[in-house]
Amino acid sequence: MENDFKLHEPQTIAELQSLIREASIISLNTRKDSPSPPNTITLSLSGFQKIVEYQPEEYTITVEAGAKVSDVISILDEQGQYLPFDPPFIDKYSTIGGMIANGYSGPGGNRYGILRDFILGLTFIDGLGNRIKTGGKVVKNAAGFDVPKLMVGSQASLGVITEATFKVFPLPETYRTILFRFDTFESGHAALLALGRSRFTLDALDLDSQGSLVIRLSGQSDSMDVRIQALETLIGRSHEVFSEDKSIWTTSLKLQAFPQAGLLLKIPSSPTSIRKIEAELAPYSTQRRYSIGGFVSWVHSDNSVCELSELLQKLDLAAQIVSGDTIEHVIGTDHPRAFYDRIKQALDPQRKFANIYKK
Amino acid sequence: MKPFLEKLRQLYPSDRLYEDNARLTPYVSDGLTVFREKPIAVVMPLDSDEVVDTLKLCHEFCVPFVARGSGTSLSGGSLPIDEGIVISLNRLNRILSIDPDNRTARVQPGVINAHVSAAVTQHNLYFAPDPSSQSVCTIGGNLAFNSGGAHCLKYGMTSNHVLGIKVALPDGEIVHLGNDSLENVGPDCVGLFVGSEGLFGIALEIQLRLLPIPESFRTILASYDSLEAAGEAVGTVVASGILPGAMEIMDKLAIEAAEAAVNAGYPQDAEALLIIELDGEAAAVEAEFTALTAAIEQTQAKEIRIAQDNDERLLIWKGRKSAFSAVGRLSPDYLVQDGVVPRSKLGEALKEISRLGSESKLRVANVFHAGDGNLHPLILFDGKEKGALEKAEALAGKILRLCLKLGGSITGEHGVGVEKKAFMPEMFSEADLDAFKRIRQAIDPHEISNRGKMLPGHEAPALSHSGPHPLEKAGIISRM
Repeated sequence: MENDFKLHEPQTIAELQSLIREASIISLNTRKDSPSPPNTITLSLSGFQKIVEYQPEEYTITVEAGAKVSDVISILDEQGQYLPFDPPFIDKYSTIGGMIANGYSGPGGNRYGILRDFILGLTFIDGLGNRIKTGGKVVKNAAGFDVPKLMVGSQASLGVITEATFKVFPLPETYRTILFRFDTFESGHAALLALGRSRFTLDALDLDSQGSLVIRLSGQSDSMDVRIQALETLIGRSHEVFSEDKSIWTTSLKLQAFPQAGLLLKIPSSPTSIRKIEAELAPYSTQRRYSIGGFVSWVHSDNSVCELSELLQKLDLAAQIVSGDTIEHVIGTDHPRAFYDRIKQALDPQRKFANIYKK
Repeated sequence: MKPFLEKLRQLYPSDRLYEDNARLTPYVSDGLTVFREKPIAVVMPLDSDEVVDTLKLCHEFCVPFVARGSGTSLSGGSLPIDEGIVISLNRLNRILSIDPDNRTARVQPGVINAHVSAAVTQHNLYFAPDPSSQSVCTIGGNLAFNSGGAHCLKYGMTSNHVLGIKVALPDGEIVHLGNDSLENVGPDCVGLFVGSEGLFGIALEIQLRLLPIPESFRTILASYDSLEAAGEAVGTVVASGILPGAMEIMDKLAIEAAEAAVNAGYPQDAEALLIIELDGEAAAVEAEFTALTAAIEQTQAKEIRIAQDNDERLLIWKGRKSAFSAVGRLSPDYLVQDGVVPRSKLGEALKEISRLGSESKLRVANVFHAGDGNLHPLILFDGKEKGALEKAEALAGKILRLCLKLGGSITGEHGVGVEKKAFMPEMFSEADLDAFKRIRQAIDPHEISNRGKMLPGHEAPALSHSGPHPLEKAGIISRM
């Protein structure tokens, strides 16, 4: 397989379109560690890195899909703006197109929503080589099908994303990240449920399997101490200072404690279901972290894909494989499949792109 | 059509199957009354199984259908289809479950928007999307048209508050999209389904996301000497880095009308009014409030008022939400538009709309969601005057083209429906529309699900002047 590998780097949309028209299998290599089938044409969007439009006063940004996520984050930061969903797993190679195709959101999704809540417009090339522009550049738009959202998490299975527009928010004046340590997962979990239903507007609410709750608050600096005191009253114990720095969320909490080898899974969950996930997965060789207030579970596992898939099906859960030595994309349940298959047929009738469900 | 109707009669008793003119008449139009079309029948299923059986029948006989809730669409989204049936979902109106720990509610499509918040308020939760028609419009319709409201600025549209959907595809096949999580694996099919204007089938059960009721609100009214000055003030507030829950503007005509209708206590000498609301934790809101008042003081506000208690706050909103039907009293007829412009172009857009209005010799009132650039110009006309409706329609078209020219959209929250189909090719290329059509046909090969909406093709019925919807006349619904 390695011998066949050739990276194509088209420089214009027309070149990209003709590569797609001529290819029989196309890979965007959204997961660098997953092996590709033979005869695969691997595309790089390194020729598409421009910031197309950025007027800070509009609170929107339009960029080409090959633009580096880290560059976009720093361009926004210079103007006091940010992507509130804290794009996770970002390194210096990560691109905007890859970010959308993978569809991951970090802890900050707890407050204002996840990646799909911030995408406004998207241009892509479908499996027939057509350039298709959907959504818009304004923060509110109801014209046409919401294909920009559809492409979030599509894992390069429906088309090649070439450009996207995002809604961005003003950076808060200050951050405070605090930790509440509990003796057991159960007591930490009870606090997470109480906080979720409370009047507190928390930027981030993460829980680990040891029962430590990590909370990020943001806002006007003179309100912070009062808010933290109120949090302590609700939780009934005092906090430990974690950090006042925001960057802690993109470096320290990047699941860095998980081993490099093995499988890393994203499992959509809910504040109550993580209790069951913790109980059911603990006996297996897994490590778990719960983010976005319990709405996502990050699970590292040394088990085989087959074994995990069966277990997830039993629990009526689906998982996306973030990294690991497998060609699978989604394991566990496949409830939306009948709908997905129809869309796949419409946008990629010749099956040039990956299929996220096992054949 | 006969064999189809015979089979339909086997599915429904006559009190839930309307075929006679008298009972069909209330269904000939929705909130956009200039379009009218008579369906061949209206059915009222009681449960999901009846909906699925109806769809299978429609699929077998290639009979188009439109699902309808309260019929408040402002784009003709629930307009019946020639030779088609209306599936009225009002009796699928149960809230199936409420899960306070996960902040979700599972509802049927016929549940009324405001009933969701009412049912969960005991848990200190609410459903955020708040279209002006929320006291009558249904969740199914909100979902089909990705409805907005005044508080979209901070909390997003319906799409941002739907986690999972049990869908009956147009051929009757059931699929489950999404789940009970905010997160998802694979393409965001829920995101695609929401706002698809009924073209992908019928949502039978909807998992809604609920939010904790904010601890504290601060609502501010600022008056200005010109609409432009109010528009610029929006820019100043946005630039200050504060994210309010809502930011709304009303012009003089709208202020006077609202004042006459509900006595909201708005300043009468203002040319334009800016309403800003902050919400959240009390300590955070107070800190933001200080920053916000500092920002507003930099603008040319001639008067600033602050709601002193919840009653005053609700009165401000009552005036705002009744503004459209109130303006309607100033004129025998009106058209409401729904365009979006980039926020920095608000002033320019308003100036141009006013110029276009004078050019057409038509009065235009403005009430809109300023924070997200979503304009709702209200074109006043007298339908009894020959050619007046056409003149108003022509002005509406010019306004939409203006929105496109400024880099915006032809609809922010009302949807395309039948009303704006003709503008789709101006916003999207042939390749874009072809992709929409391919997706549509892959999901609905016979194109029976709400045929004739959103996508160009399938001619719309001719415009007719018919005055406001009976519900609107009665003041039950309003347009926004």
